Amino acid sequence: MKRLFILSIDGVPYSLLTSLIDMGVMPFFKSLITEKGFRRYNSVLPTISSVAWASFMTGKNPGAHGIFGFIDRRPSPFKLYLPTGKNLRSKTLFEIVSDAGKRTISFNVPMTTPPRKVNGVMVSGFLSTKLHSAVHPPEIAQKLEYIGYIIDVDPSLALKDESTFWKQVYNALEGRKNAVKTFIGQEWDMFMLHIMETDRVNHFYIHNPEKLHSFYTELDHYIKGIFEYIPDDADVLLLSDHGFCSIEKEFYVNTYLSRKGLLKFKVEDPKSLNEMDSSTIAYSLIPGRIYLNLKGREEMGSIPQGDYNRVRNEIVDMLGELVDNGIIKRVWLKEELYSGPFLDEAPDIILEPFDGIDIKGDINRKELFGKSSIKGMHTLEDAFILWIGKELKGNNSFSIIDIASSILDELGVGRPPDMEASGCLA
Amino acid sequence: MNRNEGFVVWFTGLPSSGKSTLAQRLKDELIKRGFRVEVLDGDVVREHISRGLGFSKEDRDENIRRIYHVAYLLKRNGVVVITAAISPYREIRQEARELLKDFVEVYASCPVEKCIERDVKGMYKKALAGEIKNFTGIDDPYEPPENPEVICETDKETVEESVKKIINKLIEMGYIEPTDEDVYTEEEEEIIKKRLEDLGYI
Ligand SMILES: Nc1ncnc2c1ncn2[C@@H]1O[C@H](COP(=O)(O)OP(=O)(O)OP(=O)(O)O)[C@@H](O)[C@H]1O
Ligand SMILES: [Mg+2]
Repeated sequence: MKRLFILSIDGVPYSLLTSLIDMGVMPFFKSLITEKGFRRYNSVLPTISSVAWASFMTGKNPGAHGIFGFIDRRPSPFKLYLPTGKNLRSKTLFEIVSDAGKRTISFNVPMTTPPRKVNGVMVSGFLSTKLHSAVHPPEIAQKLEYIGYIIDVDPSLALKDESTFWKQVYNALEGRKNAVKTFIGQEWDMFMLHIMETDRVNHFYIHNPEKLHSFYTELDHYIKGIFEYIPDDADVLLLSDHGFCSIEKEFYVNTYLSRKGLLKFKVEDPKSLNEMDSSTIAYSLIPGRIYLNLKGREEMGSIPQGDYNRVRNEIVDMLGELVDNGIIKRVWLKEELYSGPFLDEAPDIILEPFDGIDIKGDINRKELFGKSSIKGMHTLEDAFILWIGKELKGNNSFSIIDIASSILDELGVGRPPDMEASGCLA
Repeated sequence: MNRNEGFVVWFTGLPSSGKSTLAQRLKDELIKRGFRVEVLDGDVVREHISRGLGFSKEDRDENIRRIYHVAYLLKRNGVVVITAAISPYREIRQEARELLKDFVEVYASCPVEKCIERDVKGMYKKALAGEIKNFTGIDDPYEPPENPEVICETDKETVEESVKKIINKLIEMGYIEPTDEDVYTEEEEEIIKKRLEDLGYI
């Protein structure tokens, strides 16, 4: 049985890779490509790293793992909160592989905060603040500090102090490489290193070809450096969780709902959804998640249970004008996208964006459209996967939910019965 | 766990090791989560249920037996019981574990020197001066648990950290559900929020 090294590179689009390869920017990555092992494939809705990697780790859709965004809400009493791995209510690949008596090592995978007690090593990603609470087993924190491992770069630097931002990006990458060097000699069956820096860079520089090229040139050297540590007896899987594109404009759904009279606040200048009025019909969380203010579920519910379908259909009909006007691509009902024990927690309506129009949840915007300092947004259908030497199903014929089951197959570990995925290997 | 029943968090540790302090904080935390909670604190129990009992091994064991019987009745009626008595003897704690079944033993671990320094009730001073006899940690034995569910090193951890450890164990054992506050302190949450805002994620 071969072991598996997974290099996950957050937010790197398939289309960007192929165009950089054509320009000769990423020769090492190009040399890794085997014909049937390289594909463009789909992320999930909402297209967010936490949701996507949760789907990757569990082989389940959000309705079955419980993660729908970086922010979520408890309906009653109404409360906004930041989901973590504790809200990811499913076993992950790391535990499934551990339970089968195999050893896993992972660094920096989103939604592994707090670290789970796997057989092996788990170092949480950017939802952690301090190394000492981000690692399992606890005693490795010191070692990581010593080798210069940092959890994340400070993204605000990209706007305030660019040179420090880039320094941090390269330091973070270096620390992660040192971690591979330090831990690769241990026993393992599945080793996963997650690179977050690509997502950070894309958010601020996707519109800037010059900076992008020089970063991806470095990234190519970096990947080459990582490969020098990967033992010959390991298979290698590289993948991203979503694509990226430049933002033309942002669309503020809550402003739209307010204008339609569906979202009301108790105060003139609301600072948060906590100040919603009880007459509200619907509100939205980023990106494009719409919740009905349903009686019996929401703290100040206004829609009787019996009217749920009617009201939801009316809202969907109304949202049709956004589709007709080319503002959003498609309107989904939750049961069309999700299934499982946490379907109840899912947004009632989900908006699928067009590439280029970023759907936001701001509540204090006066206009429907605007801009911010963020330049790049995630795309659903342009993630990449390269499973060296394997034959994958065709482009865009599978999603990030389908990978876990194939990983387990390759490792000779049985799929748990509730893993819904159909696999990504041809 | 039978969902209609409670469970028992059983503290054990030297005098001044932190049992009562943690029991009270844990109680607040569990009440906040909607549980009915009763604390059986050694001092209070000795004033009422165990009035007249002394500090010989027999009396100490009898004291613990009374505590676990009361705990049993409460637990059976859906109450979460937190006990905070020294309970120095391993054997009787084992008896309690076997009867109660939903039993989470928490060792308030603290070096005796540190407990003497704390001397919350001034008893160590008296024991060291020979004014009282059979004082646990001075001239009476304390048998630390071999496999407690949780060890709180109260000389190294803050009260909050110790409580969090217990809560996390209760979540892991399936006695309580995780809430969003179980991962971050307020300060950490602010840091993460800022990071996500800077990325336009929230
Ligand atoms: N992590 C901690 N957990 C508990 N107590 C702590 C901790 N850190 C410091 N302390 C302090 O230690 C003291 C513990 O006293 P407490 O009365 O709780 O002990 P006790 O174990 O109940 O003693 P006794 O057996 O005499 O009743 C308190 O003053 C408390 O503030
Ligand atoms: Mg006490």
